Amino acid sequence: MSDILAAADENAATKMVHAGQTSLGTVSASDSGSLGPFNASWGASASFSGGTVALREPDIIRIANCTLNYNLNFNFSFDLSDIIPDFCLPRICIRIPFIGRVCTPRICIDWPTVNIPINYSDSLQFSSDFRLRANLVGSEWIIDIEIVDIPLLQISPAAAAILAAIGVAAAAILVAIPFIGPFLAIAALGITAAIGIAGVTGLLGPILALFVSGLTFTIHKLDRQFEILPNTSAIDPQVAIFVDALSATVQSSDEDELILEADISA
Amino acid sequence: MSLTQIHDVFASVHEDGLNDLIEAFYKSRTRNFIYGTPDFAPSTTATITSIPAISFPGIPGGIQFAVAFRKPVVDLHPDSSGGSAVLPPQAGQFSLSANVILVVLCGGGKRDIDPTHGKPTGTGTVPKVEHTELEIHVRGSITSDGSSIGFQAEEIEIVDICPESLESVIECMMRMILNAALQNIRIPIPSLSLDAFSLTLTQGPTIEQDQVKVWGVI
Repeated sequence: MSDILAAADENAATKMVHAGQTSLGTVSASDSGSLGPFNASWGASASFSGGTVALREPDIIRIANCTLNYNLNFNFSFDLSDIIPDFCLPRICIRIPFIGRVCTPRICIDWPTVNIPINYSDSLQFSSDFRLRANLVGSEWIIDIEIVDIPLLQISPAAAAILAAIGVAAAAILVAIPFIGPFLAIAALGITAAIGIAGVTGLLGPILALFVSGLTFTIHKLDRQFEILPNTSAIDPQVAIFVDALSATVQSSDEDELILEADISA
Repeated sequence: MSLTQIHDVFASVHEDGLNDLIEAFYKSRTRNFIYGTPDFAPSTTATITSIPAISFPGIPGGIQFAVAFRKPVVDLHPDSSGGSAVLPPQAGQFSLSANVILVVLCGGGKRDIDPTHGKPTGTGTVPKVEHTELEIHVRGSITSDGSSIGFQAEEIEIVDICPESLESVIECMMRMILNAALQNIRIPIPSLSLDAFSLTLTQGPTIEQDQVKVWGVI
C-alpha cells in the first residue's frame, strides 16, 4: 500500500483541470501559411477554459465542451492587377489655332498591391480525452493530462466570418485608392472569391490544430523534496520528506475518482 | 465504495508514511524530542530544547536533568505487531513505542554530557551522571484542529518498574512529558494530499486499516 493516497471525485477533478487551464494561460504562435492563393503571415494566441470532466479507468480524463478562445492576426498582400486589368487612357491630341497641336498625356492605371491585415477573435468548443501522467522532471514531480487525439474542430462558422471580415477590410483599404471607385465591389468580391471558404479553413484549421495538438494541462506540481513545514527560525528548520514515487490513475467503484499515490521517505 | 464517499476529496497516510513523516520531524527538529536543563542545553537549538532546572533549596543551580526520546514508531489500528504489542491499538487508535532516556546530574560541575546516552563527551570536571533508558508504550488517538493533525497519548505503559506505585508515578510523568512533546508534532492536512488540493476538512481524522484518513471539500 502506498504511503500517501489522495482521491478526488469528478467535481474536485473538474476544479483541478480548470486550475490547470488557468495555469497554462495564453499560448502564442506565429508563422506563415497559405490563404487560398496567397501567402499570409500570421500570429495567434489561444487559451482554454471550462468543460465538463469525466473520469475513465485506467488513466483517462475526458473533457467535454472545453472552450478554446483564440485571437488571430494575419496579413496578406493582394495585387489588384490580378483581378482588375490595368488600363491606359489614350493620348488625345487636338489642334488649337495659334497654338498648334496639344496632346494629353497617356495615363495608365497599374493597380497597386494592397496589404490586408485581419484581426479576428472567436471561441469554439471541443471534446477530447486526456491521459494522466506523473513524471519526475529534474527535482519536481509534475502531474499533467495530455490530449490523446486531435479533436474535430468546428471551424466552418469562423471561416465564413473571417472571409466576410476579409471582404470588409479589403473594401476599407481599396476605397482610398484613386480610380478604384467603380471597381470597388469587383475588387472586394474578387479577393474573397480568390480565397474562398476553403482558403480560410486551410489557414485556420492548421493554426488551431497547432494549439490543441499535444495540449497538456498541468494539474499539480510538487518538489521531490516536499515541504511539510517551512523554515521558521534557526531552531525550527524546514521539515521535508522525499517523494520517491508518484502515480496518477483513475479508479472506478460506485464513483469515478482521480487517485494520486505516493511513496515517501524521510 | 468510493474513497471520497459523499465528499469531494479524500486523503490518507499509511502508518509507514506516518513513520516517515515522524522521522522527518525527528531529523529536522530534534529539539522536540530532546530536552535538557542549562547544564545540558544552555540554549535551545534545532537539536535540543533548553528547559529550566528544577529548583530545590540547597542545590545550587537546581536539579539538572535531560529527557530524550528516541525516534518513536507508530502503529495504526489494526495492530501490526503480531500480538507482541504491550498496548495494541484499539479501533480508532494508534499505538506508539519509543525509548526515553532520563539523565540526572548528581552534583554540580562542568558538564559536556550527551543527553542521548548520558555519557561525557568532552574533557573537564565531570559530575556523576546517572541515566536510565525506559521503553514506553503508548496508546492514543489522532487529534485535529481543522488544519493539521496531531497525536494525543491516552494510556502509557512502562514495563518492569517496581514497585508498581513508582511505575505509576513515572508513567504519569512520561504521559505529561510525551503529550507536551507531541504537541509540536503536527502534520498539516494538505500534506496528506501532497498539496494536490486545498482540502477543507469535513470528516476525520479517522484511524482505520493502518491509515489516518481525512475527507473534505476542495
